[in-house]
Amino acid sequence: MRRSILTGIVLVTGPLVLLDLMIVNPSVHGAAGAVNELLVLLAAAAAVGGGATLVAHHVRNLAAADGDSAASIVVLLGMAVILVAGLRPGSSGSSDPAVLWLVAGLLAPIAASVFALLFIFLLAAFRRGFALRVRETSLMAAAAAVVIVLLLPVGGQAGDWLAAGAAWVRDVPLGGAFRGLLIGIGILVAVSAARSLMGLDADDE
Amino acid sequence: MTNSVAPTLVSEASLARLRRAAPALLLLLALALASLLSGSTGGLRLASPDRSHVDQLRRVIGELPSGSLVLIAFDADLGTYAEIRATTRAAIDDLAAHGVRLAIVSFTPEGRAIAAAERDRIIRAGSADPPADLGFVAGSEAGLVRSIESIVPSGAAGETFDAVRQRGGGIGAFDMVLVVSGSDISARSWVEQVGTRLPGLSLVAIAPTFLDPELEPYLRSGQLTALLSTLREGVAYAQAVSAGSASGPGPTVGPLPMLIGMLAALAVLAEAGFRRLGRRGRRPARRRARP
Amino acid sequence: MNGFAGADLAGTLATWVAALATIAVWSYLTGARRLFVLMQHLLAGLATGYLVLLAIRDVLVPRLAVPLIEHPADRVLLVPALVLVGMLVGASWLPRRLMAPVAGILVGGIAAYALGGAVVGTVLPQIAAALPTTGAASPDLVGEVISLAITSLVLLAFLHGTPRGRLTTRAAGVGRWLLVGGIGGWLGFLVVSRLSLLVDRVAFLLGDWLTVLR
Repeated sequence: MRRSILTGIVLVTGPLVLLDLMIVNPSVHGAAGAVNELLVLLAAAAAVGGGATLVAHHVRNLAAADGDSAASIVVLLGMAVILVAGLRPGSSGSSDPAVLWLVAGLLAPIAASVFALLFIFLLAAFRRGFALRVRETSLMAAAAAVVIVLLLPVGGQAGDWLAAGAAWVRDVPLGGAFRGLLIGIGILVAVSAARSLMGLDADDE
Repeated sequence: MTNSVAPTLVSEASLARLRRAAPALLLLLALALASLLSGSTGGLRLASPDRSHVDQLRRVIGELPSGSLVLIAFDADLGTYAEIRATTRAAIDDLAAHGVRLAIVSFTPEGRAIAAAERDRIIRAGSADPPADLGFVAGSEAGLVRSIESIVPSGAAGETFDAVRQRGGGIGAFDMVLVVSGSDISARSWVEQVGTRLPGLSLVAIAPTFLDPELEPYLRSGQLTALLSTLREGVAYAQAVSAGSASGPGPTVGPLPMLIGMLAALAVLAEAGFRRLGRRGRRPARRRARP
Repeated sequence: MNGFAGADLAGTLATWVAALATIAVWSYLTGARRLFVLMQHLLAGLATGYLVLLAIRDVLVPRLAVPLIEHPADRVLLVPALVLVGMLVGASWLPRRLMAPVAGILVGGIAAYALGGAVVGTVLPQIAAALPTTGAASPDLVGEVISLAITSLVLLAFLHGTPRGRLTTRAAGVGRWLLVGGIGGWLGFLVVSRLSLLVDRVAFLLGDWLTVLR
């Protein structure tokens, strides 16, 4: 029953959105617009639902003294402080000075610091990769090394040659490989999406 | 006996920890020293000598008539924005210098955090005409498509908002869209969802280096009008813009720390590769010796 | 200068907090994992809080609550939307079978956008762009032919299922190595990208915080 409701709704909403992309028809456009507006609202609802689930999970952890209590307190504190700053009466939401301060002082620097560490982790991963798949990792490391050399910030004539080499690698071998990858991923996405729209994936469940 | 062993164990563990941490800490120290010495970097140049992408973006912006409407879609990631921050600010300065009316919008939460912070920075810098704030639109691809129809928040008042409303109220009202790309909603999403529905709209993008291979095919196919997607191109663009106007904060990343970091990366790759090859070379010899 | 914090007291405080947060995250390198884990949890809490804030302030209130309160008669269609939104917010506590309509709309919409975007926005234009431009219009015909060959082989490797014929299998094998090389090239870009973030963060500590960098 649940599957047939789901398939039925998918069979109505999906083709409606696709039809709106392909033909110009005011009625279809209006109906697809309504589905679109609903999707935007549902995405926001999913975000709120996700937040509520996270709160419930950590409150449960704290109540049962199960898991890392300090970590749970930190998560809840982080959520609370930003929600209070943005939802308190008189606040202007995401552009409120208190929210902007939290972004500048905590959210952005923590995210940036974690991403900065990835340089070190990435190199460590390369070293480990050699122990797992030697031939593939060797080729990947060689290609990565070539790209890094071509991007070296060198001036003068050598810098011009490196830049010309970087442009050629970007346009020809790398551009060709990534175009193939993009087309391949596009085809797989299209096939997978078409299966969902025809209800084939639901039948497989 | 326990008393005499315990301190040794602790110190050995600390020593092992320090030994493990040493390469990374040394790298940080080297980068810090190189950043301090970045003023004297003769022979080094971070700005890309290949100006094709820079010229392309400058031409597109230069061809915009004064008073044009340009939408800046801030969808960068908080973690990777640092790489394109200077380029984005240079582009905002470049657009402002051409008398363009700007509006900002975001389709990702992180992009919205950056957009609000950048708008606040522009206001703090004393700009008389900060970009009109179109806020955040949820729903990723669905949000993008919905914004083609209507992007102005209800109740928003101002000259730019009115101009957008007069031209239909959606993304099509803009003469150009500058996508400050991240990994969630990248310029690719714009090409796929907006470019297909508004083929006449000029889409230009600024993206971190790691997105370059993914976005380059869209530039080559003409679906993106211009693209700046490496740090070196960004620096070259920022230099070109500041040469004309001398405003906005310059790039914080210097060539010397970048060179040291890249050489360290090459050394790690080479060391790991040669070590592995050395081990492989030794293995058959051991096997042969066994019988 | 990252420019997010102002020059006033609040801005100075934000810079100090940001610097301490950076050091706390990087303490992971010395083996202080506890602090790193706590910073990760703080990031998760702040990011989720920010997402919820945007969802409520910028979407649900202006697009759903306000129209329903101010013009309930004109916005009758928003009533079922309100019900579906309520169901999705409480999805964790509701029976799964009740979620079928919401899941159906989400699956249908997401799949349709993905299908349309992939075919019209990527597959068809990229196939057209892969073909070399003929005549004097092409500045680099050799490069375009090489690029087309690489695209074809990578595509074959990517979509190649059960081996059919020796030639196809061999071509797919070559394509697979080209794909691995392409990913390696991308990793090179990624390394440089991440390095610039590390250098920027060091510059923040030295410049914005310690003010020893000009």
